Amino acid sequence: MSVAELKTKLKQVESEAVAALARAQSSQQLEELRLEFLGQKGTLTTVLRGLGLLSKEERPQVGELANLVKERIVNALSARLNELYQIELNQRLAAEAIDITLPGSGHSLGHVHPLTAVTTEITNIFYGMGFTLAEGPELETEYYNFDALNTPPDHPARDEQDTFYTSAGPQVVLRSQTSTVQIRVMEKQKPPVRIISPGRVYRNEEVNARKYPLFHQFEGLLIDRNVTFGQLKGCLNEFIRLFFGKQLKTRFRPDFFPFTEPSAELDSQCPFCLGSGCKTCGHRGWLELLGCGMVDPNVLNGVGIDPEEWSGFAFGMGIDRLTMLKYGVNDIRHFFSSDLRFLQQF
Amino acid sequence: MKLSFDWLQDYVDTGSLTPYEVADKLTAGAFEVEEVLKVGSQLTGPVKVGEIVEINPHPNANKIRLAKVKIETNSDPLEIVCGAGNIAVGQRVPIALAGAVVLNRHDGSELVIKPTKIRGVESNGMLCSPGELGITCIDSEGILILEPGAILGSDVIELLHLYPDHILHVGSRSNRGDALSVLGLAREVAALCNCPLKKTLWQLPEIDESAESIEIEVENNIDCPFFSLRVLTGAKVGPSPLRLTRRLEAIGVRSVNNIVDITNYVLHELGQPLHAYDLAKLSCRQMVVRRARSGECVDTIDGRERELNEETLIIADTQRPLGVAGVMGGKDSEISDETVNIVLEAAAFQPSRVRRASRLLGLSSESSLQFERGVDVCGVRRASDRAAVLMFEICGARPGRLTYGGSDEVRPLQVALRLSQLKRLTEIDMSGDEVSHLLGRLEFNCKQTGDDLLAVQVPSFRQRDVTREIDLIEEVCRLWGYDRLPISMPAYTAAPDRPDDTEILTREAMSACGLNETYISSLTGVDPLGLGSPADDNVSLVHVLNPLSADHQALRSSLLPGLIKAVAYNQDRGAKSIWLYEVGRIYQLHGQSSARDTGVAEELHVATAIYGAQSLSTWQEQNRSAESTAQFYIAKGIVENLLTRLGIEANLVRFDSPDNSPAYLHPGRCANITYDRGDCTVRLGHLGEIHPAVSDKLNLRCQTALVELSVDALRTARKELSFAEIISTPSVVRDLTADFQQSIEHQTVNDLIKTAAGANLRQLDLVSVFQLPNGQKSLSYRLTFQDREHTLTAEAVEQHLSIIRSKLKDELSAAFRA
Ligand SMILES: [Zn+2]
Repeated sequence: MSVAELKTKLKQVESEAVAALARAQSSQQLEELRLEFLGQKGTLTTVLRGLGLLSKEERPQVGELANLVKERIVNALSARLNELYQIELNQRLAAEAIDITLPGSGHSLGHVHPLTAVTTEITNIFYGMGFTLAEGPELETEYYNFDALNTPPDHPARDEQDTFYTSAGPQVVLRSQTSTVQIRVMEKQKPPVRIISPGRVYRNEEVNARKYPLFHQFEGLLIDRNVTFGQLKGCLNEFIRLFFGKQLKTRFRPDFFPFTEPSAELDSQCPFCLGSGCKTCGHRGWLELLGCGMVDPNVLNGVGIDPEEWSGFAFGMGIDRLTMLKYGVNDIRHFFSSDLRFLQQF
Repeated sequence: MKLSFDWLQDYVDTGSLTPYEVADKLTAGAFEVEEVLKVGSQLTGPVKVGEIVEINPHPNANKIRLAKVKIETNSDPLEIVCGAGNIAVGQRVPIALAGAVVLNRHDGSELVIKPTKIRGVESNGMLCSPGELGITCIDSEGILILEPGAILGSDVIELLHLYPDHILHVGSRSNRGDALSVLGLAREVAALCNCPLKKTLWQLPEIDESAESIEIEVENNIDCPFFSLRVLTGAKVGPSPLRLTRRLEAIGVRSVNNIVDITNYVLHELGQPLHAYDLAKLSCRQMVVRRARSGECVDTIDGRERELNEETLIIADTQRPLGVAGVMGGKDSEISDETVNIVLEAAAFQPSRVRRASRLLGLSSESSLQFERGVDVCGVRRASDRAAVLMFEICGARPGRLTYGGSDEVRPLQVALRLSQLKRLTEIDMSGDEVSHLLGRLEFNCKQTGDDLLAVQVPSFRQRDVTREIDLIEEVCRLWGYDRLPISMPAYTAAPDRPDDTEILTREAMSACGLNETYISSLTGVDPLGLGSPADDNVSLVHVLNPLSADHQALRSSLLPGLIKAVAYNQDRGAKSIWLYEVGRIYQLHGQSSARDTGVAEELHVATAIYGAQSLSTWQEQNRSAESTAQFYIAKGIVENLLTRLGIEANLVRFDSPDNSPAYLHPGRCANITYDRGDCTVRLGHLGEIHPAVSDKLNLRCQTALVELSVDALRTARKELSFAEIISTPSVVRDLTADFQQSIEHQTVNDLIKTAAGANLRQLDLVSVFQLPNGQKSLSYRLTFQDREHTLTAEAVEQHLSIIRSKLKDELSAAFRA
């Protein structure tokens, strides 16, 4: 064949191949076409064999074209392959679509008790203010529950905490307050002291929606040089801000606890109505949150800390009450019911 | 206590302050006012005192009559139509004239009086019943009959003090016995509102020197520092006048008779309990204040016989106890309608003595509550005088001389206050003058004795709660206002210690396993599951001596009974999947108690109960394989997860069949869990399936598995995690299947393979357990071999395997099938 004939033949192969590839409907067909045109016995290969018959000068002219044609066919092949893959992929995607509104399945996480959640939250806030955790026993001697807390026998303040007595001994009670931990810590540790202590306490009171014979308190104690009432205010104001997640007004009202002096009750503006009055705050606009005060010098003397050198403050709050407030739980008994319908809400 | 705002005005001039403003001041000043209640209604005059001069029948009706009522001596009487049956000529009655506003006796609404015709007859006003005047303490449908001495034409509203009042519910404070009365709170109001106290003076009538007097003997002046008696003669005992009854009623005190009412009135007004005896009922003219003798009895006014002992202080005559000092008087000498001569007791008793008697007898009264919190010894005489004045005015009783034992003089108490100490604790920078002025409002007298020093004289009525410098500092803060104290933050002087995280990680692991956390009461019954408790279990049980109920009479010694009950509770409410856990303490007696040691061990435990499969979405439930895994192994998996989370080495933990399993666990499906610490074996806890008998008793419909571990023990088994080099030589995996007798446990096989395989066994997994028809079981293990440095050859691995096979064959009689 002449150069011209060869060139015509090449162009013809190219247009046939491109047309055939465009018509192909599956990757299988494409493979067949590849063999038909580019295979060992393929059309293009056959045409190219004719190249050997050309002269040395003519060969490059046709060779250049031949390479071009081969490249174009290869490109067309891969383009079509790609097209077909996309088509097949789209078909598969359509076929595999599922109802994504069906509920998720498999292993579920357990629920954390709301009292744990709130205890953790309060604890973390005070960690941030440099407090650390301390623990004490739930059974206590009267010494720790009362005497060391400046509440001697026959003090009427003992009546305010209906105490459970136990078979462990005549002076062994179920602690009625977490303040016992203050004494246990100060007996062991010299100041500075900065501890918090959440825990279970007991009062012999009839069960109702607001009272349960056991509940949880959160105690805080800070002893250092130059501790003032203003620092107590600052510390607790920060706690209120962080716990409720907003700046709320607070007020400190004088109160009486045997183991602090001066003592105060801390009220916070109701976080739900911001003071305008609602059901949660009994339409008062304020919530009574906790009791606090400067540690009484008698308590410090009792544990061998010199009140002229050191001073400190203490505070205590009811975790159950804060939790009820936070989640709007209307009955303290839910906390101890083990009812999954309650537990699984948190 | 309940405080009448109207009564308060007798002692302090609050000027233009409303009851609500005063309540706010009290609240801000340590006396929390829980509630302010408006009582009574606003009546408008004219309501005048009239005298009935004539009563005629009504021409047109049977049940109503025509009364002629005179309100001025020299003018014509008014004609009034009246339906009440209790009126009679000569009575003085309240008459509401045209324009007056009184109350509708049916519903308490406002009733405006105007001239009307009733059944054709003109009525020029209305005779009023107690209800129509807002008087609730007299239960009568009839017309209110006034004292014969009421002045004609005078204003009944003023006469009977028929003004609306406000009752403040003031929280009482155990350390402030001085503020349980109108006078005490008046002092507080005066100080907190900075307004003047009123000087209240009453003139004791002429003393009847001829009246009898009682000889007093006080056994010991610590129990009773001061004891006084006064005889009052010729009293007319009867109902109290309206004004007294109304005041008492407003604060919730029931009227008894005028004498008793007066003692109650003075108690609430001055904070001094009093007691009145009938002189005629005393066997002699001598009274002793002494400790009771063991076995002595007294019938108290409430009608009960009380047995006394040496701890109780009593008042007695020479023959018998007359009452328990400060708590309650005796029935025998009580005032009755026949009483003519009265013995009035006013005294001060030691608070702790009264408190002890009150607790021993289980008897408390208004009097004991006041005495327990202390009375002002200096105020005893004044209270006695006050009552004598009222008894004279109201009952016509003539007072005799006061006789007494002990002394009502109080040693002056002076407390030093350093201004620098005030500043150190409160950041208040105040001059001596400023502090003196503030404390002066509370009747504390201050004298500056140095640049930094004040000498503060504490008034007698505050000597119980103010004895130290810090007490004065509190008073300064209180009057200054806590809200005015500057705010700062504590200095950061030391970084806090890091708390142990075992408890936190335990909760995390439990929640991650899909268990729901619960809190269960640590107070429980002695045998919460009703299993008939084995005696040896109970020796270490801590009992509550004053329990609320049988369900609360002991402290739990295990978390599991509570969880088992929780499972039953939820099952009975329709739950299908009950996966619960609790982290909490258990309590066990372990030694003698002392003043500083309870002798009780408290241990932190974690326990779980699993009932049913873990909750999946309902629509997927059918996809779950029908063959359910034994709950035991699910529970065991949870334990293994927890151990991993805490970094406890699994191969040092053993699960063994216990010799003695807890009563509520299935003896064939439970395990003791221990940890080999090297030097000793630490018991971690146990797990198992619930005992079928317990399950049946509680009607559980699903197999339940239980775990209880000591968090305190887990803590001691924890290790710091450390990295092991990742080995990159190829590993060779071989399966090994062998048949065993049923009695051979997996753990034994596992241990034997491990020892036999040597150091190149990297991992050993149980892949199947298969029950054979011949009664044996087939166990398949997957062994992964790997050498740290070299590639293992097939021959080397085969050598390991053949050693293992022969060991299994020799020691456990394992059979290998072709
Ligand atoms: Zn609110």
